[in-house]
Amino acid sequence: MNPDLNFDSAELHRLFMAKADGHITAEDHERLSQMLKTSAEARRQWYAFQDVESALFSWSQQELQRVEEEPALTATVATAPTRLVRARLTWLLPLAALLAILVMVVNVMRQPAHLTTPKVVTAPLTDEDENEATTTSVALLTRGVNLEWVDAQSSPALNAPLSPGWLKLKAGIAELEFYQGARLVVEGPAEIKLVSAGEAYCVSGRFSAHVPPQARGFRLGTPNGDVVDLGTDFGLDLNSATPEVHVFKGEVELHQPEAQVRMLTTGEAAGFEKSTPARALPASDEAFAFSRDLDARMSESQRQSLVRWEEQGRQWNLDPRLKLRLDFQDPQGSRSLKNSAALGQEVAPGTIVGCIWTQGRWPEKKALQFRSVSDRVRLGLPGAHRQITMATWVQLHGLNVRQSSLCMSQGINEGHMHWQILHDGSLCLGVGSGTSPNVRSDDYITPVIFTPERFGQWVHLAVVYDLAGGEVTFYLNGGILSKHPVQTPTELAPTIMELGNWTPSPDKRQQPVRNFAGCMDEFSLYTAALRPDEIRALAE
Amino acid sequence: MSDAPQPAPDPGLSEQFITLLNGAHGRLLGFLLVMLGNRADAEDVLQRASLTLWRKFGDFTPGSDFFAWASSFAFYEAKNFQRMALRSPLHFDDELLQRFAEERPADLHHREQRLAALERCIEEVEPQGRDLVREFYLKNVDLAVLAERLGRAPQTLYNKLNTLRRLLADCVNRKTAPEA
Repeated sequence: MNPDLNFDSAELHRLFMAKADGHITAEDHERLSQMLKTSAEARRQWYAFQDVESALFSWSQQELQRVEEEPALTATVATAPTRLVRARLTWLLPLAALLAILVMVVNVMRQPAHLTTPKVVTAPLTDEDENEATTTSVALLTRGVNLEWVDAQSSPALNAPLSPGWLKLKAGIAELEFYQGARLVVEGPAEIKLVSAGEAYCVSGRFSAHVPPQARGFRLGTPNGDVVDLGTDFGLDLNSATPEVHVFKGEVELHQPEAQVRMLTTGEAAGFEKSTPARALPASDEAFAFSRDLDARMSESQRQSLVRWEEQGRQWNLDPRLKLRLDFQDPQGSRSLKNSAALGQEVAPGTIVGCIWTQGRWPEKKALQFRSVSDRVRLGLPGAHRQITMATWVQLHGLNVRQSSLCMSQGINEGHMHWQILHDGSLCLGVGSGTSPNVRSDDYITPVIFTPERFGQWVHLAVVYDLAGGEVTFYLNGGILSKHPVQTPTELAPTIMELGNWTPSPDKRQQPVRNFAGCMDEFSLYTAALRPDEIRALAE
Repeated sequence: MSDAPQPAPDPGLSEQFITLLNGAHGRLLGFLLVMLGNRADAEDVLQRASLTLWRKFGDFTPGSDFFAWASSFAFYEAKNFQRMALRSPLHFDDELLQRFAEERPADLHHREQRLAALERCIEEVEPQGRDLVREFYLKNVDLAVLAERLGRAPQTLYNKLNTLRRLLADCVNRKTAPEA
């Protein structure tokens, strides 16, 4: 007898569907597992079943498209083309989200080739990776020059993922990359609303769009009608007295209310006013030159940022409360980090173990990249302190270990401090309290801040431990992140510290892994509690 | 504009990657579907795996079998996903996953045939049935909502849908059987 026919095929199929639809009972799941384990035929049917499911899904997508192309059944003409494109591209969506991540990763990798290899995170594959794949964002702010936002409070950071909603630009040039692949360079003043990964609506501004083949169908809505790109490059000027669309390459469709859809191709342009039908014009890229010199302006603006930072740095170095400031601008290939604090004589230069030199926040700014389990910078801070402020600029590449050290004392003893990023993306300051051998860690933990969307972005982190004020305060990019009352009043005596790693005790053989995966390009330590406005200045 | 600067330092590399991933997308999804059982999870895992693949892309030998290379990462990601997926504690154990990982790549050679067969099989279904299938697969429709809209009992609708799925699977099996 063939053991493969030992089950009822209808029953097997019922189990398949319950499994696929997510409402299988534990008992049924066990039966299904057993059948699949013991029968090659059951497995073959399971594979075929899943392929049929995939086929039904694809068929349904094509059907939707067909149904929507039948005019009588089309709900609203205006939205139909976008929906069609979505239907066609649904299978591309994971890819689109991936592209966004790629852009982030690629930005991380935008470093001199001889300094780095294309592997961003080298944590072993056996580590659990918490990357949550869900995101509400639809685009990235990839570059910006002299950006001034209407609402400075909520201005997006470079490489920040953007969720649907309004972006109001007072001045400057911003480059947005939509997840479906379209790239839009915007010159302010501009008001633009991100609608989806393939659609935006704008009220004012100058726009230069590049739409690669996979983003065909990118739609830019305006109060006067919509521009739908069928591939490649166009400009839209809403800031001139008479709005105009210019096509430099490829084709676009103009959809205006109460007018026939018009097609513009390479070299054509049209006026785009509300009431009058589109006027024909020759295409001219004069008004859109801003998008061409974005590169040059970008490097100029980065150079200025660096100069400003260097000037501020000279001031900061003179602060008598400052005991340690590593600016990471040491000569190429250095194995130690100079302490730039004018009054920090008692603090020795940091010793680099492992790590590689790479690029920091700007092209001329250096940074250290921490990648392997041994990478670290060793430091010493003598004395016991009632107040300590630590501040750093870091770019996190991933959270592959339980705890990633920012700055941690060696071992756990009274007064030791452990500033770290926890596996879930929250920050933690652990302070050793009690006396040996009964030392415990008082942990101050912030809300989660490092979601995968923040990976690859430069962020400013600070923590203030203040026994006088009885408070521990965490800062993110200059703003207060969370405050915590001091648990056990303990003076901080960090003694030997490590940036980017932790040595629990020098004589132990088995060391837990606490290495930070990312880059650091500035680190300061004050034996005082800095005020919120001072922290903000450090983060600017 | 066409001469606008490119964002990536090496657009060639990411383009190459996207092309390969694109080409293997269906098979990778098919590979993951048999392990995870449902589309949402399989897509989720494929997205996570894609990130790893990109990070490791420097190790990939151009010209070698991209699917073979990529599926080993996808397999790891699926196992990892199940370990962490508290929302559905019911999943296949590692022994079974291992078996799938060994068998499924060869079985995927039949995938295209099955997809093509389904196109023909579904033509035989009456329009009402096809509407039901479409609604269900497109929107992950809550059958209770759909039932209410159609004025039918949810269980009746689900039974009908599942009968159709069964018939279609049988039809595909018939059309792709070796002797057919």
